[in-house]
Amino acid sequence: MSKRFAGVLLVVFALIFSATSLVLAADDDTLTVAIVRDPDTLDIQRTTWVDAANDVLYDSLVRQGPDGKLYPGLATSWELSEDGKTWTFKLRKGVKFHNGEPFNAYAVKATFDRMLAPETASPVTYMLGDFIKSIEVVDEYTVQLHYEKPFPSLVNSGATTGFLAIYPPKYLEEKGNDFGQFPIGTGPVKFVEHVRGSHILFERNDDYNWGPAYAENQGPLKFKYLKMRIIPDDSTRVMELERGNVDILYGTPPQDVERLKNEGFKIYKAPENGITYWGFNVKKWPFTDPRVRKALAKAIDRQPMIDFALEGLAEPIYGPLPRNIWSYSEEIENRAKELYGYNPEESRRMLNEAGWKDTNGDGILEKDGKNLEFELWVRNIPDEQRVGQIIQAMVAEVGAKVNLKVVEDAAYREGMANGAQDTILWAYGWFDPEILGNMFKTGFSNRTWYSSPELDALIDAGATEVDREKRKEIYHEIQNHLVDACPWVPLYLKQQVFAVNPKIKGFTMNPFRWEQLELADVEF
Amino acid sequence: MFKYLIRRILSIIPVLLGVSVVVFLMVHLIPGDPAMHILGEFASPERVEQLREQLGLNDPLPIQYLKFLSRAVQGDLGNSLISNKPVVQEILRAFPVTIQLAFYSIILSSLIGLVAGVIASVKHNTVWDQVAMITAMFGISTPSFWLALILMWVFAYTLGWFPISGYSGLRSLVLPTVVLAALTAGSIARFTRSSMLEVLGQDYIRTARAKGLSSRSVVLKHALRNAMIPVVTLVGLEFGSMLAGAIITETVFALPGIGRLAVTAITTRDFPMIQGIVLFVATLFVITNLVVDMVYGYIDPRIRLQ
Amino acid sequence: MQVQARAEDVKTKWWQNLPLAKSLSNRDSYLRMTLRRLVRNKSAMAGLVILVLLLLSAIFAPQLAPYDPLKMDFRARLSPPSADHWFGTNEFGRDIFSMILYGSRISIMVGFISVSFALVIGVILGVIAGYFDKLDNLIMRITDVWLAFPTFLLAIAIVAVLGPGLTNAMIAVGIASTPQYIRVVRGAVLSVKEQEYIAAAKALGATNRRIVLNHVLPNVVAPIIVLSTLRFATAILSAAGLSFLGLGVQPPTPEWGAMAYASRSYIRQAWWLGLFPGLAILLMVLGFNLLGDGLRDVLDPRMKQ
Repeated sequence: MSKRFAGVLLVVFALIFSATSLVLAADDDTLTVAIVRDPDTLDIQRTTWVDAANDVLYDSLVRQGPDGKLYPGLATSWELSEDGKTWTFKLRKGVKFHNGEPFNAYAVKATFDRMLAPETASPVTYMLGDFIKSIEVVDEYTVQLHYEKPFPSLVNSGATTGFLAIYPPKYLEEKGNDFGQFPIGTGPVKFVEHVRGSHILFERNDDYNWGPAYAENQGPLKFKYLKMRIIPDDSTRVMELERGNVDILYGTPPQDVERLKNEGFKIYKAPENGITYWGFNVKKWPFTDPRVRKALAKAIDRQPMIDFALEGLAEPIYGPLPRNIWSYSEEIENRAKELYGYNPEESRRMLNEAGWKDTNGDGILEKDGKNLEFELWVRNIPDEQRVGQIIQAMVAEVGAKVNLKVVEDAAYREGMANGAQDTILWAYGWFDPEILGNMFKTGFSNRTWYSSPELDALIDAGATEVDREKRKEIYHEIQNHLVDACPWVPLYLKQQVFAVNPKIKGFTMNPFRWEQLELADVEF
Repeated sequence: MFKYLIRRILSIIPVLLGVSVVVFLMVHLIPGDPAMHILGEFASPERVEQLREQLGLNDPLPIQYLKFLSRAVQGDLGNSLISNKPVVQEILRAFPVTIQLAFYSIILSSLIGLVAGVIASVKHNTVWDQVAMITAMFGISTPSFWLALILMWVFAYTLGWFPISGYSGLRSLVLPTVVLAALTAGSIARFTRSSMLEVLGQDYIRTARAKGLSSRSVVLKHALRNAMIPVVTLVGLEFGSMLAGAIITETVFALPGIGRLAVTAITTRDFPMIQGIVLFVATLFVITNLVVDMVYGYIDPRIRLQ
Repeated sequence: MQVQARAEDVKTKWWQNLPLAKSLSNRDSYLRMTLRRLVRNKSAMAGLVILVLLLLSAIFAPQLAPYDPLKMDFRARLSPPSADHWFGTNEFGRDIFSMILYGSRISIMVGFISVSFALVIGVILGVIAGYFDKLDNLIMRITDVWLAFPTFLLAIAIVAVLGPGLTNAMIAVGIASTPQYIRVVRGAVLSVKEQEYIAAAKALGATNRRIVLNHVLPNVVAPIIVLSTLRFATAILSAAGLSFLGLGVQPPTPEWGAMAYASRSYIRQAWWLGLFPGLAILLMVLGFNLLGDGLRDVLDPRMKQ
């Protein structure tokens, strides 16, 4: 081989490598957080998933504190009109976007108008409310949202999430749907870069002049850089924490919590705002028969799932809402537990009563010549697959055969929308009981395909009732309805666990907002 | 030679056209509607339909294909449906990681493979030969994810010599490089050995030896040069497939390369991204093959005459 | 002739002058001779022993396995290897040793089906390409396109189209390895086609079908056996890789790759979860590689020395 040829090769590779500059100088003043998934985009109007990674850049209008109460965010006060159709927000003064644009009512209007525009194709417009009529600038620091129907849940749900973050209007107009490539907000950190599959880097916003009311620090953060490393693999993420390369571990795998605690890491836990459930497709045989659903519900023992699939980091739940969503009722929870507590004998008896017998002695019940055999969809997530296997073993005890099917996220969603599933292992998470409407209202309910005019009426009433006490009662009725109908088997309320390097001080975990990082007081 | 080159370059075009058609069809066969993915599970059917229209997903397939092709020819592979960034930009961002990994792995595996192969052939039927070949056999039989986990456990976690995962410069590429090279070095070693044995058995080598040339000069000057021809082909091929991204290795070590980009694109139904990556990777593969052919012709002038 | 820069071509060049079955009458003695050489080949024998042992363990898994591989036993959860559980237990208290025994059935099946798939399609297309000049160019261009697809990415995409699962993973692996068969078979057919006895058969008025079945195919058998043995190894590795990415078999099937995948969550507490399935894959792949290697030596006249 000639030298000339080798020379050409050398030049080619020199060119290639000189173009690579992914490496960042790690700084002592950098807080490193390990996160599990790479956000689709940081333009959070265009994603269905918000967590620390795409939330820190922005501020929401209202914040929910660690005590569950609502605190001022970019809005200093808020008010719902008598008829429930108008929300008025008074805005914080003196706030600037990272590019220097002033924050005011015009920004709020521009942001929400953009969210509603069809070109934006926002998947989360329902956060603003399906019946929004207009957004009105009353004065520079007052904005009103007008609705066609009462929309009481706005502040409790959408307005506290990153989804309704406010964008700088001029910059937004300039960038349009390219906004997410270099996003700008009002938050405590500024965007530096997002290297897909590797990390997102943020830099402190030195002009940040406020902080959540429940935090001590009412100014800029106490560290310079925030680096979020995307490490999907469980064991790798944990090792990186242990080796000191990561300060805060998002999504600590349950099986590692105990050991990390013993190694001196600080462990923070908080329940998720939702539950994992086993959902039947009630339009499909044999789940069209409520007796089958109820019998299968009684075949499930939640404790082994929690102990062995989730290492104890969950609590069992029987009713539709977890205790950290405000219209939870202990009475309903107990009633559901009474009805669907673990009782395999009873489960078998109920199945027999419904006409299921094992006539050929293979251990699987039959009816009309068909086996009690069906699919259970799970995602490609280790702990869900473990739970699925435990469900499989439990229902086998009462004579049903479950075939697990691992389904990719995209195919899962499309499959549910077409009603292709037999049963699913799925979860929901939200801050307001309105979520039950999203899940069970006819036309929306593609997870269980449950439909009842009576329930639809209740859901409509609950969504528009302005009086909080009355609303609560309606949601109790909805929950009772679901307990009786049994389209699903609520299983457990998972805990989110953060493991934190002991050198980090001032970190708190917000039990009502596990996906938001409370960074104001963090220092090291 | 020049004519041959032109003919080879022209022969790439139908292959790439074929690849583009296949990938396009494949992408549209994958269940999972990108519009539904973008809009989320609470979207009304009307909004999904509206977005499908906007994205041009409702056009007849041939039209969509032609649009895709005409833009692709101009170097525009469209925008990612997920991040909205140009596909080309995302690929070029991931590519440096992959090409570095491929480059180091191919160098390392060629070095190990050639040396082991030559030793095994020169010391044919000795312990050296056997040890080299058994090691090579283990190399090609070990599941890469397993090797990756073990190396990560020992050298990164326990000993702390290398970063556990992520891309942070050269050091973070050492373990992935070793994992990839282990497999390839095994095949190169075996291939070199059999190729060398063949050459060493031929008349001209015997003649050279009979003429009194030293054993080393025979091996290095005459035998190796001829034995290299098939080995170069293999190395080229391996390099070509490494450029497609070492999916498993990149996943275990959380490296932001082409392989991971591809898997994410497939799972999120990011159609333009899938098309772009496959087309890009296939192009690279075909070009690598072309280069290999050229090198081949360079080493063995007889081929040029054909 | 155009130079084809493909490894498999280079690898397969040798059988272009196979003396094998030049005359059908001495096929028996040829077979006997080959077998004798095979028995003397250390590598082939080592591979064969490994594979026979694995095959036996697959067949007699129900008799050999100390436990039901799917039986959960939470009391024995994550126990390290011991006299009770030779390879330890997993997070459900399932016996790893029993799972591995049953897993050999799945790996053998995965290899068998994906190789058969590639073999059938590859042989048909390869023979057509090699024998019928008119279709040669078309088929080889299709093969070029096929080969330009990165194999593993192709398999992932196929699984995405068909949905994850054992059968689909096998088909995916099969489709991804088909073009190599086409090329090998075509090469072998081309080299046979020009032989005098084929011309003679043609002159005697034999139909194409007859010539292909009686004269061409027997000559393709040797390279196919070698290739299939080696592809078996690759198929098992690819399928395990797919399972490792969560795209292969569905839980709780005790497939080795899937077991290694599930072990990742517990890599810190329970090294035995990942070690033994990995070793099992290594062993089986090694067996096929050794056998394939030995077969190549034996069936390749130029290597006999």
